[in-house]
Amino acid sequence: MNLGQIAFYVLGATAIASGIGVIAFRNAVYSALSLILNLFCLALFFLMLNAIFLAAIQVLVYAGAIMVLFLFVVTMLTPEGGDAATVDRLGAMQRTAAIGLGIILAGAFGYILISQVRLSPSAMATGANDLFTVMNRDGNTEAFGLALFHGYLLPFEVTSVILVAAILGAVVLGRRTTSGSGLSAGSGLSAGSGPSAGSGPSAREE
Amino acid sequence: MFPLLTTLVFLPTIGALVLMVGPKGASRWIAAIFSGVTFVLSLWLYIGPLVGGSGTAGFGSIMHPAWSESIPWVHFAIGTLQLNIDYHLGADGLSIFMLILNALLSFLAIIGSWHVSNRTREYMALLLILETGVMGVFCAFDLYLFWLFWEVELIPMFLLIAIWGGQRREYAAWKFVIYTIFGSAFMLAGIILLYFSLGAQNGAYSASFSYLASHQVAGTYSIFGISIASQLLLFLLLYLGFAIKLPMIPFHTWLPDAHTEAPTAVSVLLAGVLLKMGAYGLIRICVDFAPQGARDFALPLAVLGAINIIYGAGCSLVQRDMKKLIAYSSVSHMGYVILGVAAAIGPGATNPAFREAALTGAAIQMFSHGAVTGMLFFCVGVLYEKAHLREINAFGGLMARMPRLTWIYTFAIMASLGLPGLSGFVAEYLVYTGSFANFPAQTIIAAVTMILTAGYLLWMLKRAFYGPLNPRWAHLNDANLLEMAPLVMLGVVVLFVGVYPGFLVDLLRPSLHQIIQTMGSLPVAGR
Amino acid sequence: MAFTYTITAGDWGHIAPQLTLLGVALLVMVIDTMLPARLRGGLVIIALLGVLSAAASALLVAQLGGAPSAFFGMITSDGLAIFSMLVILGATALALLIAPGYIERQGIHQQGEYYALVLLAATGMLLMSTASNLMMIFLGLELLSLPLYVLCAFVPGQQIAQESGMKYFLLSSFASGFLLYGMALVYGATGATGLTQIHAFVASHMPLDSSLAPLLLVGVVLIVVGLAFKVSAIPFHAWTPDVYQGAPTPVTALMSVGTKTAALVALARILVVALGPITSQWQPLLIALAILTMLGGNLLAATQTNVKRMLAYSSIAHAGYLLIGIAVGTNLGLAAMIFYLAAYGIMNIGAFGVVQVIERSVGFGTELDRFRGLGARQPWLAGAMTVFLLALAGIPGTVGFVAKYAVFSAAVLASHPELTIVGVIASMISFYYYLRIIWAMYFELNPEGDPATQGARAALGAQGTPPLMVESSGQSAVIAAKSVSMRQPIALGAMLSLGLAVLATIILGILPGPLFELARQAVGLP
Repeated sequence: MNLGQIAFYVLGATAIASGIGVIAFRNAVYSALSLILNLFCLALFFLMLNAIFLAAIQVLVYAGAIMVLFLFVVTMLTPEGGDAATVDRLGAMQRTAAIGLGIILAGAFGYILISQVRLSPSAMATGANDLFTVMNRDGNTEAFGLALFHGYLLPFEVTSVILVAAILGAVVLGRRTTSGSGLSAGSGLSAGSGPSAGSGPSAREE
Repeated sequence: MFPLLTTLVFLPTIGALVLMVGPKGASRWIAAIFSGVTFVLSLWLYIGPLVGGSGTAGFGSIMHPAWSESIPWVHFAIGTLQLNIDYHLGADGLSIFMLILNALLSFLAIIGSWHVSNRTREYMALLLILETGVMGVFCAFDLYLFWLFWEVELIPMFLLIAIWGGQRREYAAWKFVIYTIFGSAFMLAGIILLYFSLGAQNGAYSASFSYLASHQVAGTYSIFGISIASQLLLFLLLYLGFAIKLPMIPFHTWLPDAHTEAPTAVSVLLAGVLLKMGAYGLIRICVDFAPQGARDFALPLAVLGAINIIYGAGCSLVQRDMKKLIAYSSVSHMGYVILGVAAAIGPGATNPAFREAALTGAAIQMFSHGAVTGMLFFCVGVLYEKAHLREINAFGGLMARMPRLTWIYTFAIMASLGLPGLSGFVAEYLVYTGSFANFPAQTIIAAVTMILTAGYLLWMLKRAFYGPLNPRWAHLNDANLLEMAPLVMLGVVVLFVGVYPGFLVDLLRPSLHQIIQTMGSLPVAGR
Repeated sequence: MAFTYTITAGDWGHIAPQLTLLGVALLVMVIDTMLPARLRGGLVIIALLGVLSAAASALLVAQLGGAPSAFFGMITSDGLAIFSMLVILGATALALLIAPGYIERQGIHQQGEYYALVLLAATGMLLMSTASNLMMIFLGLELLSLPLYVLCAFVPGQQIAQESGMKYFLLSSFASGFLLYGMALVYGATGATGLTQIHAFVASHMPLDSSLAPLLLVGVVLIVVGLAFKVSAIPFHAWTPDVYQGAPTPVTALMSVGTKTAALVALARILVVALGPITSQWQPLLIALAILTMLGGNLLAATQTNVKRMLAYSSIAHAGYLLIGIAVGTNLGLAAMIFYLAAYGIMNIGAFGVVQVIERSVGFGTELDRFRGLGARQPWLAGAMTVFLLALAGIPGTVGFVAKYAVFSAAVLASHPELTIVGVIASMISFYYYLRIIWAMYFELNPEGDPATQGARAALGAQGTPPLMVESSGQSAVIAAKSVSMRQPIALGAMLSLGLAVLATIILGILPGPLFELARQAVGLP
């Protein structure tokens, strides 16, 4: 076992543990901190794959800016008990279904690991149109930029449209709460940010 | 040429329309006239070919029916998606005698419903529409058209039970509809499967009977990895619809409820012609279109038939309600039809003559049971109309007050239990002779059941009509002329068939012969 | 330079319909801020014009032809894409038409945002159904989902609507996770996200060796699971009834048709087109899904008393019939499926349109009771509903029959009789609950003294069947009295939309030839 593999397993364990932490912690702040750790692990994965630029971006954007903002919002606005109400409403049935599906998923992945499946070499080497060669020649960042703005221009643009839709949705839901029942602006984030912020107000309305 | 079949099918509907616009008071007369004319016209189905000169062979078979009318109807073809439905009516021997029976029983049902005073107009109209549906079933010569008429019949029947029925009428009506729809769903699946399999196999898409009877599906289907012979699957799918209608154990439970709750005339039609639709479908569609599948299923069919016979008789023995008793006796009697058909299609190198005898017996049983059970239900109806009760034990000694009814009831019971000289005997005798070669054990069970049959019928007769008169019924009057009319007419038919069954046999021979020939041409499976 | 990629004008031309819709969505948002409140009702006209011009540009793209793929294989404009775009745009137009009356009744003030979100969702549907790359399929899915989450919860102050949006968001994200996992695994196995490349890779590696098969197959299973959520196939349907019931009805209508179309076309592209060589591997999964969905959807629908919920379950059942088209794995199956999608779009939006007129507030007032005696109160509305329900049930003479017939025949011709058998049985079950609504509209009335009842009697007389009086107590009189006052005005847009849908249902039922021919050509059948 070489150093790279050891690093992979350590990182993998950390990533899984922190991923579990995100959903297991009752306190939203701890959850957010776990998420930061998780995203940081992902950044290290990218680094191991020689995707230096992606790793940097991952740290800067996700582990840095977005998560700090998220944490900020959570600490400021999350009312106590909001999460518990959501979890209860999901109901036992969905939980068992989730566990069942999770076991299937784990089994499938386990099988792949045990049966020594190799990734297709082309998946690692070529990716998007010989990126690997380009990367070696022109450098990581440049290759990434070229791929993003040439071969993958359309997905990139569509992503921006998705962001427009998300902002529009946030505005719709957010403006309603301020003009409507005078609740906190927290639900404005529900379109983009998840259950904890979104369901709090609606649960308390009744 | 005069479109006789179309007239027979749609004259009752026209009658129903006339009823709805005509004067309210005359609705009984209008209905009686239309159904009477239909009956008279239907007789020409029998006489026509004889007069035509080709003799009894002129009734034809499924390939060359004596009567045939065809108009192109739905034809669209887009590439491989082809839907061809023709308005194709036809009548060979097997159809003709069911058509006549239906016309007769519908006419008698209307006469027998003279006393209905609750919304008479709608009642009569529905009876006429029912007649149209059943006529259509018996003379449709296109499989899709057949299914359409099969469904059409459902609506008036449902309403007749649900509106004019007894206390639990809605329950019984829904049960009837749900059972039937369940069956016809499978039937439709079978029809579509048959249509496309045959089309893909031969390159020509058609649902006309002659095409389906002359081309057979080959090969196997694989369902969930299990391979099943195509014909067997088709047979089972199609048969499920008919088995419910017949009714075959274990799909019979709708029948006692429907019979008990339905008004008298509807019970008569239910037993007389609706059950025959199942038997007709079994012979005409299942056996004709999937002969190899039928042969594969013959043994289970015979066993089920024997169970039907003995189980129905056993249930009849313990009934207290007269109508329920007759309903269960229908289950038992329809078992003979199943057994007869099973014997005719069975494996083994049987002499074709035995096969033909069994099949003829089954067909005559259809007719005989229709007429005899019709009589029984009319008798119970007359009694119920006067006494408002059907409990067997509550009566007693009615002979003293109503001798005419007692005599005709006794006559019907004798016919039902198969007294020689009456129609039931002919049918059962033929079934026994024919099926013994193929299925001896089942035949013996069936024959022994005759004792039970005699038991429950005569026991009912004794308890209700003979013995000392129960003073509670001292006020009852005997059946009047109007009530006796349908009974006597049916009695004449029963007697005639019993004494001279030859005319039915002649009528049926060409169609049934065709089936026996098809069965004979199949490879004999060593089972 | 290794990258010789240049984006030409032709590339942008290929996504002209999407661009048009997107542009109009932004335009609606901008105009919304400038218009005075009383004129905002006019926004729907702009939105409609946008949809129509998108449809026109889709036709133009089809007319111009040329290479069917653009943006380096991200997007395709083949026949399947054009046909499904037209279905989605048609559904969007019908759903927009029924919206204004509803918006007015519910007191929704944010009309600009509403229309913009609808158009954005439609853009996402178009992208998803034209995508020929796993990545684009996922992005299209997200673009259509995000606006729909918000639209589901659009009506303020309604808990059921909030719940609807929330539920949709949670479960849909869950499904997206599955989908993404699956795509990642397929990418890992084949080294490509483009469907053409995946097809080439799989075709050249047949039969799959043991190192490749597990990865690829697990990926395919996860993709199917993810998309099955979106088409609400059983057992991934649990969100559907709640979400459909809680969402504003015009949104439900759009969701039930548009999302299904986009997701099914994407699924068809992935399975039938890209993974065609391994049909035998994924086929059992799809067959099981189809059978479960058909039977389960119809059985569950039969137990509902709320019409909107019933229609939600009915849409689940229809997803089952649609899945047959993919499960048989033939081009004829695909043709039948997209024809079914067009038919389903028309009749289902029509049915939801009628529900929308009847409905008083979100999620409520769509109980079967509201439909009692509708035949006498609003004969035209009841007539339209009858047509839609009969079509959904698949009665001959309506487009629904032709669609089912096409799907079932495709199954038989592909030697899958079990799908036909189950399908026919399932549709017979469906007769029960569709007919129950019709029964309630025409037959369940207050028996005495109500002028409405006599009208119904006359109507029945013409049919030759007497009404079966189910109500007999005093309570029914109260219901009937309420019924008379429940007469709802029908907005112009809804009237237009319903009228168009009725016409299309009947005309396409009688003359399905040209449309089916188009569907056949769309999948490249001669």
